[in-house]
Amino acid sequence: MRKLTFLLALLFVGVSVVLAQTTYSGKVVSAEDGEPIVGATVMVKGTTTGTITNVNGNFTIALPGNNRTLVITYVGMKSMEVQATQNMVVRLEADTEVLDEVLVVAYGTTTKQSFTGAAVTVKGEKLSKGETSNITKSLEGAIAGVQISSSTGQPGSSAAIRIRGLGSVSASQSPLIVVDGVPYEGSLNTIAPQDIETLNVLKDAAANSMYGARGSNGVILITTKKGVKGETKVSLDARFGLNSRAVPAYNVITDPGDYYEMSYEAIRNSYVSGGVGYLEASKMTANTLISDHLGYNIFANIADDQLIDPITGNLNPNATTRKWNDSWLTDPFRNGVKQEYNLSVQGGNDKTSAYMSAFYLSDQGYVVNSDFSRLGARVKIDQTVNDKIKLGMNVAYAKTTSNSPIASEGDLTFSNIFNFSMNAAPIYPIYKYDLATGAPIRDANGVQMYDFGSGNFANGASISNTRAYAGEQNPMYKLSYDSNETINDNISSRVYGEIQLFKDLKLTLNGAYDVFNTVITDYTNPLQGDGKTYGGIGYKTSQRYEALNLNQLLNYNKKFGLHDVSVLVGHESKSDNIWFLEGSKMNFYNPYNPEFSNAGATSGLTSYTAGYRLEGYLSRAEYNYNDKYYVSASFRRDASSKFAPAVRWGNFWSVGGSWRIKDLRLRASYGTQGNDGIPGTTLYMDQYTMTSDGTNVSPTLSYRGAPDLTWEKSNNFNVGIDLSLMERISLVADFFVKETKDMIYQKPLPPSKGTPTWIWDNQIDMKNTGFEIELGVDLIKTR
Amino acid sequence: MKRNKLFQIAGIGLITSALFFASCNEEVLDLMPKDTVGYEDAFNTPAMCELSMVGCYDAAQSGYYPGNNQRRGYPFGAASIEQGDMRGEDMLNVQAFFAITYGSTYGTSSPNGQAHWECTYQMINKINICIEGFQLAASKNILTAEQAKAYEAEAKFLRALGYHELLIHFARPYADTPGATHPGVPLNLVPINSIEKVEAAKSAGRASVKQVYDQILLDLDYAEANLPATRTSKALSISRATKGAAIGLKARVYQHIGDQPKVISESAKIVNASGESPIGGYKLTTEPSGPFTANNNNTESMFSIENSELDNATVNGSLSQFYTSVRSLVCISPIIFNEKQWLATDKRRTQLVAYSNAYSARHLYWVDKYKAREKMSDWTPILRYAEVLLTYAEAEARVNGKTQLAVDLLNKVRNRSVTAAADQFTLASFTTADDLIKAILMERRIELVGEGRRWADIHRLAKDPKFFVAGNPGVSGVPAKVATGNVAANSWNAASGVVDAAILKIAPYDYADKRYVFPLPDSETATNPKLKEQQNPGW
Repeated sequence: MRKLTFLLALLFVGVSVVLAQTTYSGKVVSAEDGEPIVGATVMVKGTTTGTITNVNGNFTIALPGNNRTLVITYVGMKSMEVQATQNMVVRLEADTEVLDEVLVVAYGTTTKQSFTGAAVTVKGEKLSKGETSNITKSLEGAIAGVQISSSTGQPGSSAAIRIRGLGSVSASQSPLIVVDGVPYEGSLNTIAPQDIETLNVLKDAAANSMYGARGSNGVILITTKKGVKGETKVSLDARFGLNSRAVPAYNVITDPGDYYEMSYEAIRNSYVSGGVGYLEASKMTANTLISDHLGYNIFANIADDQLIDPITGNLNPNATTRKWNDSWLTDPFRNGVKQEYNLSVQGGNDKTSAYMSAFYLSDQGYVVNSDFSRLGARVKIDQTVNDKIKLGMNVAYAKTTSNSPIASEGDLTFSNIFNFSMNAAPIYPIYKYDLATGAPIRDANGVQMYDFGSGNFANGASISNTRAYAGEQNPMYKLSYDSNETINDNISSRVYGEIQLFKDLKLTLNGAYDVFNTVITDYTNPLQGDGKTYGGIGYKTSQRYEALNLNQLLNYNKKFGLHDVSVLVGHESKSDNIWFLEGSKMNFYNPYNPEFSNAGATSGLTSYTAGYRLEGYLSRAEYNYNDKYYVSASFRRDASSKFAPAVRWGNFWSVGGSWRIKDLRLRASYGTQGNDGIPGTTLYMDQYTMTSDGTNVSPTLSYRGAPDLTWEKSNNFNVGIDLSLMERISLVADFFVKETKDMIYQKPLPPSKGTPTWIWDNQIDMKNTGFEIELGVDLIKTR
Repeated sequence: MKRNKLFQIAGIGLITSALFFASCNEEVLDLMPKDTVGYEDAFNTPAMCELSMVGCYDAAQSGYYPGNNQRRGYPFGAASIEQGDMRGEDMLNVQAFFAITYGSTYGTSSPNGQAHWECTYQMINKINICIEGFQLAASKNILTAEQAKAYEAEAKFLRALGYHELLIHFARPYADTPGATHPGVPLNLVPINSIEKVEAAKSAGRASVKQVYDQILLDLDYAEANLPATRTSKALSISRATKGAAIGLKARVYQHIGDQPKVISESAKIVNASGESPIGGYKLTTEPSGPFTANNNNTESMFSIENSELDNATVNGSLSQFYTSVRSLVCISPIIFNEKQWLATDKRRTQLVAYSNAYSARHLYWVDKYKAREKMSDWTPILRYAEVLLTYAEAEARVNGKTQLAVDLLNKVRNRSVTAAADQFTLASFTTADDLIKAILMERRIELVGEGRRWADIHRLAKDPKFFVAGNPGVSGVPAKVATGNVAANSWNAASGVVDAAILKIAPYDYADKRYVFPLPDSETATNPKLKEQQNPGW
């Protein structure tokens, strides 16, 4: 290996030969194993005079004058200054500071070297390069074993994150998101990518078990930027871009002429198969193509029954001018403008460091009227009080607003603009026209009306022609007149204190209180379309979610010679509460005002509150010998308020080890994590909800208690290697087996046993096995 | 240095106590849900018990229709009537809505049969939960023993009604086997509110028809013994179970069993020569429209399901929408409209039948018993005094032959609508007892048209050697029905006694046909292997 880096070293140093006055010879070896170091640079301090060691680690250098101080450097080793002596042997120590990247893990940090689990770090810069308004989407394809899938192109929407396959059927499949050391219940679209220092994905038991009850789907640790000692750094990050539809529509008929010909053929064939003679069927079809079948004739100056020549089946060659040029395939889509600004100030001195940022994002989707915006600020301050105490806080506020029309994958309603635009024939307009003249039809205010497929006119007179597709529907109209707006206030606050109790014993207290307020307005207007029969229908949802998380951690760290021990014990408690209110009204007076003061009939009104509690005790011990052999073990005991007292406590543990042989590291871990991520509280009790008969309420069994219901458990085995070659090639390979036991699912019950016809049960087992290989090559390296 | 030490000790103390405090506090995990109540809390005060009881009636009015979680009046808010009429021939399915039931084209996943099954069992389980809850409340002195028994009696009345409804649709009639040992329906009598109880109930499978009838009679006897004869208002005496309603229902149940002496002994408790019941004071209203115009306040309705403008079987279930020109789904069939015994001058033709051509300009005659139209607030008739009188008349004629009492009972009902003395029956109008019984059976069809009783009669008479309803000529079964598309203005000839054979386009079938009973729905058999084995033959 050292021999191979010989050439590399040439890149770094210029070699100059000076007239020798005194010549010294010597050898450079590794302090670790005494092996010679090839290509180490030997410089005379303060000069450009120097040489490099040969294949045996030997060097010869001539020193000018009295300067006998040599500086010996080698990549990955600590530099050394030595006084030259004849036949000197210089022992270079490995530069573990450089090699050992700090890695954020559960309840603290460790070094990459001593970490026995499987984890991947993504740097903040990489995330903010994604140009998405939600960092989950920047993770696409970034990490082996992490699948990111988005079901909608709605700006700001979160992509689903699945680490090492699906971990559950009914319970949550999403990883636990931890921001600055505390689980985060909000959406990741509230965090500006520019504020993120690192994002770590923890994949195996050794990494996750410390999150016990909630770790089975993996953990994503997000660390926001903090102040650094030194000059104050002010940066402004401004971005501007356009969003457009990346994947075009399928190959559908876009030419009206082609469409008429194809339809003609299809209809004629159906007559023929129904027993009508070929010629008769052809004439009949040509005559009635518009009046009885398609309804709309887009071509000007061609009579409805003259569009298709029944002899040839071809379009009338004079059909060249169109009455309208609306296009369902292109008009609903636009180039959305994305603007993003992030101003940050980063600085600090010996005692205080601070990071402050203000951010604004406006992201228009490429579907008309879809957008997302984010506005907020973050302040993070770390204060060293004295040599024993350190305090800090991190407060962020973000307001997010999104307008999201129905435009998601798999939604086959006519309201879904993607579905509709793919299926509407190219002969049908978006707006309303006189079907004979092509003159736009306007409402009393002079605004052009939308085409709902019926109530048509020809030369100003009412006709019965209707659109042969999706009667009474027009999703463009919905996009323009309906609203589906979600406004979120996201407040995230974290405080911590670190107290060095003894030399090796540190206490850390963390507190976090997050509040998410959501207001949703979902309004379907009364003028036309779905809302017409109700006189418009509007829903309002108001929700407050608060999450309080407290933990107390004791850290013990001690080095005895070549032994390095660290132990962590702690306690964590979580208390979440939700307040929910939703109402709906119908019969709106002003069709453009979705507020309830504007509506007549109340069609629904409900509210509820619910809570969730988690108590956990955690511990971890790590040991390494001579930075070569590493073992770690963790144990956590968690209780969730969802389960019955007898079964609510779960034990989660892991063991892991790694062995470093120079640039190769072997890792193995095994352990268990849990999952209680199913909706509802006190799942062990039968619950009765009130059903109203309009006046009185009466209790109805609405939930069947499952007294034995308990955690899903996932057992994870992981082996992996980390290898780096020539400082240029890095390989991380992992093999894992993830077995989920006692998965929770809704067991169906016979309806003859009354409702509900299901009960939660721990019954399914699942196994995920996989390989993950990350190979990195630095093709160009200039340092 | 000393201060530092002190500080450290204080710090450790603080931490250990913080950890310890947190660890002691397990109660924080015992969250109570705030918008749901636990089982015991549902019966914690007399007022809550009362609401739970009301909830049983709510479940009887409407459970949740499979698939869309809507309320459509299953089982007793409307569906028992609509299904009962659509399985018979006297009402006509006009549009597609009930085409499956009307044409007997149902299968194991047809939503109507599925909803009937599921919603009835939803109600039964709710009742069972309440029965146990009332007993619990009594044991804790929340209710007096008397109060608890009265509630339990109400619940058992509804349970009996539910099981009888299930038997009529999902099992063959009592007389199918000697001793009625053939399969009935699963009999759940305890609340199934734990997984163990579900498993136990699953392994039990179907009880025999006799076992289910025995339970129905036990429940009704208990109801009779513990229910009040009347309640504080006429409306409550109709919408909540009473002693008289329990007796009347028992008479109906014995009629289905075929135990005529028992029908007589039960009927006699509430029918005497004065024409007014000694229990509950039931008597026929003066006019035939009486029970319908004042459906929540009349002397004749013995038990009805309460509906209101706010709470009803909805636009997708309500009788006043379906049976009238509001939604124009089910009208009267020429089969009964043209019936000779239903005289042209009969008051029921003027008061309770309406002509309307509002649906596609078609000449159709509609039942005018449900008059609330879009408001949907008509109460759903389940048991009327007129039915009890006719039930009694039939049993009397079967047991004692052509008697004056039997004719009188029949006339009580008929003469209200047939007022000309010349048109009225006398003992001499009938040559034999069988003639009299035929007239009584026909009078039931006329009097109860549009009230869902037709299928129940076809079903109970299936094995009757003399009075079975014929499907194919001479064979017990489901008779031919009129196809909506064939009906024209000249199809209607009141009291003509002639039905144009050309409009009877929906083919009859025999009693042996699998369609005679609904299949157990897929939703049940998919989760209940025992019932999958016990599926009705042929399905």
